[in-house]
Amino acid sequence: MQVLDELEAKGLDELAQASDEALLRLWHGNWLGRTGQVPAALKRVAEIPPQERKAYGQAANRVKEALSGAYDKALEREREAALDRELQAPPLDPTLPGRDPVRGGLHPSTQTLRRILRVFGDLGYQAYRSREVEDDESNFGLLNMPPHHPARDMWDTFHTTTPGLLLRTHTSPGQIHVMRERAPAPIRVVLPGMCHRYEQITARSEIMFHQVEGLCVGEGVTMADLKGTLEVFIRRMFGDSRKMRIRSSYFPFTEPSIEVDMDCMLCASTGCPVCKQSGWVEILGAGMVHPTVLRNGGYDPARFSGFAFGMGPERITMLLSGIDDIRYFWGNDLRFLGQF
Amino acid sequence: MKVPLGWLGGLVRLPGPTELADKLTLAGLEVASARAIGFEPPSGLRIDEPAPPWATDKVLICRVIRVDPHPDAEKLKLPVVDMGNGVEKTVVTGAPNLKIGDSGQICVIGLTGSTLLDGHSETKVYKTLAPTKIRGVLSDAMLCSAYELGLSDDHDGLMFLEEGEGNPGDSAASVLGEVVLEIDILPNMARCLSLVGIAREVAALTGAPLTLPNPKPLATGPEIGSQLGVSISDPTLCSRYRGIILDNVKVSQSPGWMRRRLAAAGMRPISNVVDITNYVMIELGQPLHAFDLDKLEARASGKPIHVEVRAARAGEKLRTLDGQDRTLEAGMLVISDSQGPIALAGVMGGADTEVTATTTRVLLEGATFDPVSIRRSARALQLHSEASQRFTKGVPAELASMGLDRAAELLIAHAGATLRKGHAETWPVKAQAKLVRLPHASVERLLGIAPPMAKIGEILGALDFKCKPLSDGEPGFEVEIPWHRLDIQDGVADLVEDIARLWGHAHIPTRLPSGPSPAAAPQADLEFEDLLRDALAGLGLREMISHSLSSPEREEPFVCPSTGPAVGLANPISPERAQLRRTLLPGITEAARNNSRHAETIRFFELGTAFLADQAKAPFPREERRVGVVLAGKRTIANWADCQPAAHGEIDFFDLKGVLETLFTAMGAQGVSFQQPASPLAHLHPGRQALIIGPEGKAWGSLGELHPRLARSLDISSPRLILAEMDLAPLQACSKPVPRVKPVARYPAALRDIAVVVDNNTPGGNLRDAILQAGGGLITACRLFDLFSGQGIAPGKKSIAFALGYQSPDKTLTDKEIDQAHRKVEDHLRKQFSAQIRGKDDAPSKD
Repeated sequence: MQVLDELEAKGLDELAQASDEALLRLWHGNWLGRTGQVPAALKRVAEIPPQERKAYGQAANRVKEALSGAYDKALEREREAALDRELQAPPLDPTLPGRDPVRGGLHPSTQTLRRILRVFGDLGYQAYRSREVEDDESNFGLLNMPPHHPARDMWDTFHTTTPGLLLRTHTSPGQIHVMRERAPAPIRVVLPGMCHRYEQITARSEIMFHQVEGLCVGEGVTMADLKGTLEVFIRRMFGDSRKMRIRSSYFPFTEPSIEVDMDCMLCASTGCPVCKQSGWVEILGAGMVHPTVLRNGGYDPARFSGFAFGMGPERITMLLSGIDDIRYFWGNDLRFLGQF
Repeated sequence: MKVPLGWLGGLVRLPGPTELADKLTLAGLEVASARAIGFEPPSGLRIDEPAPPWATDKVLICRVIRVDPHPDAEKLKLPVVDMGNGVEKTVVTGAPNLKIGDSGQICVIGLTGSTLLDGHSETKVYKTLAPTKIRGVLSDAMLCSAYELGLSDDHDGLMFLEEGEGNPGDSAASVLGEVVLEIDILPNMARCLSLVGIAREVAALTGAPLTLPNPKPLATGPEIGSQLGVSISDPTLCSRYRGIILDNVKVSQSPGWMRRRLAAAGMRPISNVVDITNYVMIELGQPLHAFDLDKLEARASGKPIHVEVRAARAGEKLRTLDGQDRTLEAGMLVISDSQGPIALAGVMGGADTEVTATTTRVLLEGATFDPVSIRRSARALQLHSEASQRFTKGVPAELASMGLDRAAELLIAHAGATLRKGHAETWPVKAQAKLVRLPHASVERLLGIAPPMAKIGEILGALDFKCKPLSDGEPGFEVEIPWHRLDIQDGVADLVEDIARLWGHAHIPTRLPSGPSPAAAPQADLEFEDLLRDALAGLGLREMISHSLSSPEREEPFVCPSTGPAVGLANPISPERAQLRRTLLPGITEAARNNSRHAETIRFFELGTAFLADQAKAPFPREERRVGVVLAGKRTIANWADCQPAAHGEIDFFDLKGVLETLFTAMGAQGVSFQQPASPLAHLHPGRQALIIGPEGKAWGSLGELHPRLARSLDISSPRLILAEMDLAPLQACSKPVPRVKPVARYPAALRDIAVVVDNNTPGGNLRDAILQAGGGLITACRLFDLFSGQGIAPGKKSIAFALGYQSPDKTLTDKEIDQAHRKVEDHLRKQFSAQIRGKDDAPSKD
């Protein structure tokens, strides 16, 4: 029995020497682990004369519990002490810069396109993409601009070396494609896509730009529906307090045609170069689909009516982000793109 | 179109310029800008050539009383002028057109404090007059040239007004001031390429009465009779041709008011005859042309003059007014006499029959030419004149006679001309007045609301439409279209547009379309592309967009020889943008190069279209959607908090491969592999490139390092560019963006490493495949974590090490089971690749 008492005393003594968690665990292995001294002492019960075995066993178990309890306490104490030490460490300098994660991002035109499509998506419009290389017929003829129509001068066109084949000057040919695909079912689509016009590249004009057109065709579609739709769009896109102004305009494929202005958000309508001192900026063109275009799309204008509208995401991005040079868009300068 | 409000105000009473501009803009006549001469510029408009207004008490009309010599300078004179109310003033001038002894001239005087253009400055500078001494004589005012007033570029002398144009003491602005509106005329508003057309709109918008010119020239000369004949060879090309003759024409300067109006309208004053034809064109919209009758007579050699409108024959020649000899194409419309073409109809007159200073007799032409034909010849000859601009947009035939009458009236008054009686004319087909049925319901059907019938009648009536109630009793009008409305095409929709325009769009309520939203399937590729963009941006790449127009030289290094021809442009804007691109690679390469000058790391992607010749789609190209990626520069940017600064390497092939692998995983595309092409792609480093092979076995595209020679020729010295380009359609076809989920493993994985020594040319991917295959489903992770050759490894060999995870979905694997599986892997590698398993098969002589 004395052996066991000595064992306990030695164990407690060694435990007291263990100054950190690792040493404690080492002690645990030596004393309480599978091959440690306490289990060894317990196994020695077999060598004890049978009449003393019970007492030995009880004593050995008491030693095991005592050491185990002491170990738990020591471990707990050491963990608390370690936490105290960690909490007392000098504070870090929160003003030092963080590590740089790699940041990607979408092109501003993509971001604006998505915002536009989301608004119209909520209004039940699906996106519809059509080809960029078009024929004269789809880009002009079927849109109520027969050859030599003076309105063709409104679009300076890139022609390909294949006669009659051109780079679409607007996404409007998509109107014809989608109507011919779906007539006589009602239509609500937005047509996003890249267009080209023969221009000099300057701060205000590019040869390539996105356009988003919208087309709604059905029975009983009116100018009032167009006006309401555009009002929802402008408020969602630019804010609830925006004012909208409608001007008469002309597009060969709509009649009546309108142009929609919004109060200038850059100068609060006091007049600036962006709004040409007028307090209004042009946001989009629109109108009721021309009867000839409806007919070309396969809809009887006596029964169906529709409206269409078109806008330029780059122009809208310029307004929203205060960009004064359209050349930034395809310049692919990270110093520009990285701001989005 | 430049609209001088002083001129327009003679036709209709005008509101203030700002209010007028507002009304016109809303009604479809957009006022783009304004210019003020003498007056305060109108507010709310962009101002062209901004100029300080003339102070009404400092810039005045005066009359020269006498001109005294300067005591000290021969070139200077001292005019004494009457400034009204008996006030006299002596000024100093050097103007050559005022001589000592002159008197009576009416001119403009600027007093101290008035701000005018500085006539002594090379550039346009405004100067406020201050008293000064010129050669000892005090000067506190000056007599002005037209230039100093901003009226024209004429600085050769003082500007004189004509008798009756103003009285001494009048403010100059009240006589010479003008506000000019620049109005954008849209094609359907061609009628407003005339002041009368605009005045009609103003009258309809404001309710003010209209005062239109009603010319009744008095013909006092002899009858034209048989001296002049006119004919039209093809009435579809010219619907009306009319000629009148004026004798005793005295060619000189036109009156000052006319010159000022023309200048304000943007026309250069030339001579009274030319000015009057231009004046009538701007006022009424009818282009006219004056021929020198004596020259025509000379050409006719005594026979009666016969003027014919006909299509030119190929190769015919004509020297035009601008002195150019032009070779005509067949089909261009010409005015011809017995000797050949004398004018390019509606575009420009001929030099041979031009009116000059010595002209005394004039044949004046008023004609109606076919817009398409005029447009064709104007384009072919690159001759866009004020006349051709009007003809191409349509001039009503009724105007021809009105224009001639108006011009005759002005020529009689301002060129002393005598008008001969009668005219020569042919007008084969007179258009019938068009009638349009406009039921009241049709207005509401388009607008969603309709003004009352009476209002509709009032609006249309103001625009000169004649409305009669429908005879069948349906509410609505039968509308007669006036002759000046050539734009009315469809009828109802056009009239509804005019109603909405003049009633005001503000009256139209706002609604949303009713009825269910049509349920057509959305385009899957648009959704897919958005997911792809998000995935790439999430991987740290920045989206870029480059021009779709390229050049053969730019593309040549990047397209393989089997690529078909590009779509070329017939009218490229520059040689660098002469065709549609067939690859995104030049664009992303250039973007990387340009940014490498200021960015340490470049990570770009572009989603765009390549345009490729395709028999199946002819004549259209196949518009193939592709993704291009370029990575370059430092893998990471040094940061104070880095643990291991040595980890900053330069981006290489495997960075991009990792991006693509992760992208495929993100898109749910399985089984995509990377293989060395049979023959290397020319634009990539031959040893650092791969094809991207889809699970269906087709190459989607490629990735690799830009060929160093190509990099050098593109002036890219560093960093190395790692490029990829691939088609989107096959990726989309095998993508499953919505994954099927496997249950998360419930039993732990046991990790074992395996390191083998194999021949250098053994592809690592093959080893990996073999390990997974030999694992028989128990290996759930196989990560290559070490690869080296050199010291300790036999020449021609490499050591390659994988960390394997053994795991079963059903139970915790025992050591024995794992050992068994691992031995199988080892055996398999030995057998298939003659691999030495490191730590087991090491040759004793080596370490």
